[in-house]
Formats: sequence, C-alpha cells, structure tokens
Amino acid sequence: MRRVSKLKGFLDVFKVISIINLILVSSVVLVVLILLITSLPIVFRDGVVPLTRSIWNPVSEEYGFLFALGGTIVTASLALVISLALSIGLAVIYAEYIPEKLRPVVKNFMDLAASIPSVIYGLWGLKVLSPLLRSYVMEPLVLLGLSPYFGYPSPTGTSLFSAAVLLAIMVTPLSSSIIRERLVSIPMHIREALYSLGLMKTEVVLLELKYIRRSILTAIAVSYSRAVGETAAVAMVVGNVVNPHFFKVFRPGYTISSLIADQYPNAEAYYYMVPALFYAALVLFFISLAVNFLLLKSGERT
Amino acid sequence: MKTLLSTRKLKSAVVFISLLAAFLLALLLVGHIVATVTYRGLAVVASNFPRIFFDIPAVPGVREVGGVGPHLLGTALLVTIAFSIGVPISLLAAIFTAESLKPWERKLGKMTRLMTHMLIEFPTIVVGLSVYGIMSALTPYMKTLIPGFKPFSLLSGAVALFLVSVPYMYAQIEDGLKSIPQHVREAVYSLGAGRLLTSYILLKYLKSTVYAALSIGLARMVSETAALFFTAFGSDVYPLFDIQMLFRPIGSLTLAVYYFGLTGYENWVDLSWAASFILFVLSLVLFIASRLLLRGR
Repeated sequence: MRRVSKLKGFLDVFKVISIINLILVSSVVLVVLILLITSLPIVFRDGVVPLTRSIWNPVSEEYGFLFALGGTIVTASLALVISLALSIGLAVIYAEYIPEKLRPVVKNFMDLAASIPSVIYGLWGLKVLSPLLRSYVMEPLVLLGLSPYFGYPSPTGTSLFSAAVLLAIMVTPLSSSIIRERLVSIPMHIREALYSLGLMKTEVVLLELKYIRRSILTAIAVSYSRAVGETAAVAMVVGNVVNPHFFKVFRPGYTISSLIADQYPNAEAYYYMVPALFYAALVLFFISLAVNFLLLKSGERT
Repeated sequence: MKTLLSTRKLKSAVVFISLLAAFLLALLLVGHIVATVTYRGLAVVASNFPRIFFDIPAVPGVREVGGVGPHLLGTALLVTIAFSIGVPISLLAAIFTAESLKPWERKLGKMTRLMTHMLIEFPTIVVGLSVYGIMSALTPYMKTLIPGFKPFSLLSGAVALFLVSVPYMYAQIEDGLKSIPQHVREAVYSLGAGRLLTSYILLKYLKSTVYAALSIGLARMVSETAALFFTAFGSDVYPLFDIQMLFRPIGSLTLAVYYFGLTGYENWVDLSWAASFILFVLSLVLFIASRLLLRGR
C-alpha cells in the first residue's frame, strides 16, 4: 500500500497503464488500415471489377474473385441451414428429453467439440467426411440425374458441399449451446401455461422455440460469422479450384479465406497478387463486420 | 375429433423423430471425429514413440514417418512468446478498463472494449494477413537494423497469435472485474488501497476466473492455424538457437496437420494424424483445466 502511494508521488500509474490500452486500440486500427492501404494498388487499377468476375490469372496479373465470394456465401449459407437443424435438435433433446443426470455429459462433450482445433476438423473432413459424402450423398444424387444442378463431384469428394457440411458440424456445438442455454432458462410458469393448454410435448417444444426466436437469430448470426471466416478446415476440404459455377455445390471451389490460404506461398512472386489477396481479405472483413452488426442489432450478445 | 387427434399425434411423432435424429447425428459426427483422431493418431504416435516428438519429418513416400519435433518446438516457442507478452497486457488493459474513473479514462476504456470485441470477430486469416502486411511494410526499415528480417518469421507468428488471443483474455478478465459487486470494491478502497492495489486484490479474489481466461487464451493460441499461414509460414527443420531465430520462418503443430494432411503421401498423412492427435490432447488438457478452474465458482 505504502509502495503504491509513494510511487504515486512520481507518476500516475494509470497514465502509464493507459499506454497499453492505447497500444491495443491502435493495433486494431492498424490491422484495418493496413488492409486498406495494401489493397490500394489493385483498387486503383481495377476498382470494383474484381468483385464481379471470376478469373485468377497471376501470369497476366488479372484477378477477380467472384468465384471465391460466391463460394463463401454458398458454403456459409448451406452450413447455416444444416447446423441450424442439428443444433435445434441437440438443444431441444438436451433441454426437454434427456434425464437430468445425462445433461452434464452431453454438455461437456459438445463444449469439448467446440474446443477442438479447426484444423483437426479439416483433416477429418478431408480424409473421412469427403469420401463418405461422395459415395453416399453426391453419387446417388448424380445418378438420379441432378448433376445439371449440382455438378459432378471430384474423385476425392472435396467440394463446396463437403466444406458446407464440415462447417455445419464445426459451428453446431457453439450455436446449439446458445439455444440450449436459453431453452433451459425459460421460466417455469411459461412452460406450465403451455402444458395447461393441453398441448403435447412436441407442440410445447415448437412454441418454446418460437418464444426464444431471438436467441435462435443470435445463434444464426454467430454461426454465419464463424462459417464465413473459417479458414484452415475449409481450405482442406473445399478443393481449391477456380470454379466460376460456385452454385454447383458438388464441384470443388474456393472460398475467400481458402483462396488467401492457398495462394499465399506464391503471392510475392507477382506484383498485384498481394494487393489482390488483401482486397479479398478486406471484402471478407466487411462481410463479417456486416454479420456482426446484424448480431448487435438482434440484441443478444453471447 | 379422433382423426384430428391422430394427425396431431402423427405430427408430434414426426417432429420428435426429426429432433432426435438431429441430436443423434450431431453426437455421432462429433464422436466420430474424436474417435478417428484418437484411433489414427494414437496408432502412429505409439508405433513411433518417442521419436515422433523429436525427429524431423521423414522424406515423403517412404515407410518411415519421422516426427514432428520442429513443429512441437515451434508451437512451444510461438505460444511462449505470445503468451508471455499477452498475459500482462491483457491483465493491465482489463484493470484499466474496469477501474477507470476520469472521463478520458472511461472513454479510452470503452474504446478498448469496442476495438477488442471487434478484433474477436475478425476472421483470423485476416488478422494473419494484416500482420504480414505490417511486417512487410516494416521490412525495408528493419533490414538496416537486423539484416535477416523477414515478414515470414517466428516474431510475426507470435504477434499474430497475440492479436488472436489477447482480446479473449482481456474480455474475460474485464467481465470478471466488472462482475464484482460494488460494495466489495468499495470495501477494498476503504482500506486505503489505491486503484492498482485494489485491482490486484480483486484479481486475487477472481483467481479462478483469471486462470480460466488464461487457459482459454492459451488454447486459442495452440489451436490457431489461419493466422500462422502468412506469419510463421511453417518449417520442417529445427531452427538454429540464436537471436536470428526470431526472424526465420518456423513450423507449428497446426501447420503440420494442414500441410502433411493435404499431401498424397501416406507417411505424411500418418504424420498429420499424429500431429492432430498431439494437438487434440493439448487442447483437451487445456479444456479440462479451464473446466476444473471454473467449477469452483
């Protein structure tokens, strides 16, 4: 105590600590600024053209990443739909059906799943999930004659579809935990009121889901933001092929993050490639900013 | 009435079965990941024990696997540097934010909160790319001071890990400090303690929260991949132990899983499974540690 007050005579300790906060704030600003500055050459040269065309030709210094932008949106949206189904199922069964004693087991297991490094998901997706999806989902659908809509899968099964399924599995633990916590905390009197209407259990559950729709929206936004930014796992299963037909999900493709991850080793060999990658990163940054803004608007933070 | 009831029953059954199917599918998939990593990884680790922890990777296409020694060391170095800088900074920044009183302090505290929350939401590949951008902008100037300075280096990797994980540690510690009831804080102040000493006492009171926050931060550093692509770059050989090591590319476990997994060579894929098993065990230990720490509260 004495020491501190003596020190205070010389200088205000909090003024010194404030430098650390200033460093943190300015480093975040710097991170954004450097994205803007480094992407300037290609912005000046091409404007918004790279956003509207699908071409990646470093030799002639032509860049357009519509295919990656489309891949990001397609995989993240598809992942969102799948993960929403999985996480609602998880949350509802957890909160309403399984015995209380089993709850901590399921909860800890899913929390553990959320803590597994994403690159492990990627390896599993590449070596286990993609071949499985190819032989049991993609090929049967192609045999049914749906290839004009979905495209033909690659021999290894790496595709935008596999990436979407993998992303769905990755974000499910987190998004189900958001729904689960809210579902468990629904007040007893509301539950009882619903049962007193003579509803069956599943009907009660459906009404409860309607009651917590804001939390479900939060879960959606959180998983979308995760899915858009995820890199290592997606880069391993998405196939990394320039695919202008990114809506044909059985084909391999690129997402913005996997484009950056896959192209960086040779980026410095070309004059405009580094700016192009930074431009792509900037677009990714704005997408995730927009999603998080929506998240903020939806009112509930995790 | 009877038919109405039975359609209700049917609908109810359909809803229940689809919910149950989703539940079981999710558990099955996650269980499959854990089981596969353990099964495939443990087999490789066990048959190459202790070599796997020290050796460099074997050449591709042979029967030997080699080891992930350089990558383990790389992860250890990266995490040590980033963590030892990150912990004091996130602690002090959290103290400043939680205990700010004067208007300018409050403003700066709010700003820190906002900015770090933004940083949490940045895709980590963007953070990594930015660090690379900063480092390559610095390179011409730094080259005059340090001849071997490169944007792909241990230093950049550590900076990237720092930026990825400090916002988490800061946010959790700050939330912890904020959650202390005002009367407890006032009681400490009333003993005549200054703000810094007060925060120190309060942090002692929050010990398990702080340790849990740090272990979560550590887990994020260990499991980070995307931020390291453009910064640590990856390397399959041991670095030379001198100061130049800081400015050379370095491997990490996560990068090893990524690179070796994407190759078609069987022995390298095995190595990737082994690396992912080691990584899994590390993150499991940190997960259990944070759970045990938080259970007391």
